Amino acid sequence: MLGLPPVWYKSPPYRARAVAEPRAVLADFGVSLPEETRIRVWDSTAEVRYLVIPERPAGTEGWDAEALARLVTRDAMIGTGLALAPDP
Amino acid sequence: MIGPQDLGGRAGFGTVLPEADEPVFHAAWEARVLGLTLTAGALGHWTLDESRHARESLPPAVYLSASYYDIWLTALEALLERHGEVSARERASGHAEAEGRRRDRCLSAGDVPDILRKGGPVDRPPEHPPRFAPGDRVRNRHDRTPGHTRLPAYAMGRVGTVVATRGCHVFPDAHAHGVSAAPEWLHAVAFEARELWGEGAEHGADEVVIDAFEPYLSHA
Repeated sequence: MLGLPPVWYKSPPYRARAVAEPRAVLADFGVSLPEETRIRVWDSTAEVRYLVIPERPAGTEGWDAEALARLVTRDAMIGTGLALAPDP
Repeated sequence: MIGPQDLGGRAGFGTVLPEADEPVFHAAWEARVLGLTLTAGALGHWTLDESRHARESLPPAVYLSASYYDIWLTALEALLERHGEVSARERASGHAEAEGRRRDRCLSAGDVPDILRKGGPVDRPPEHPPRFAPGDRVRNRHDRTPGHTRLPAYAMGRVGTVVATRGCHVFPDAHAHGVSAAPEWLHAVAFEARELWGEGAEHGADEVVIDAFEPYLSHA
């Protein structure tokens, strides 16, 4: 649906670390989640594919799909990034 | 079998290196290998599971020192030879000595978008009801097996909770070896990080969910 994944997604460092230390991997992408945020890693081990829906950024109440889509990045749909914050 | 592709939780591979604006392919040959693999798959000699197993059966030293599309190409050569499309002599010389066996299955570029859009669904009608349901506590098997499996080594023998049932699917562990077998129910099973990694867990209450076929599971 989104095309071919980037090389790092298929690389041994990502495949080795994403399941064992997801917080450290996210930190490498500049994302630090609070301790109380529970992380659930989905390791796609069969042919089921998952669509990542980025969390809606604060301050976007009432925005339409087109405006919200402008905040969505590729990494936000891989699960290694948050959606962009709206301009203040 | 635990092959070289089964990397979850292993150490020493370094940090993830995202590239800014990475290209889809890093060399023209990579695109060609992807195309070759897709078109050779359309010959119908092997299943997705057999081709995956061919890659995962490469010697670990070869697998881990090869790039992604290198692995694909090496496995493709092995598959073409196994199924009589290319001889060892042709592989060595780089020159064809006979025509392909399934010229009627040859794809033209125009056929490809439709085939990709259609995909290759693996869900099948069930032959019996599922043995597990969401909420069940289950343990993964930990048997050493000689053949293909989709159960990651880090989850073998571990206890988790079924969080969803994903329907009934072709069973890759049989399919990879050309064995016809009943389809199996597939369950999403969540494992706490502390169950998987013990004292080494980054955050004990985090979870990893895998898709586990029923033969991997027993009630815990």
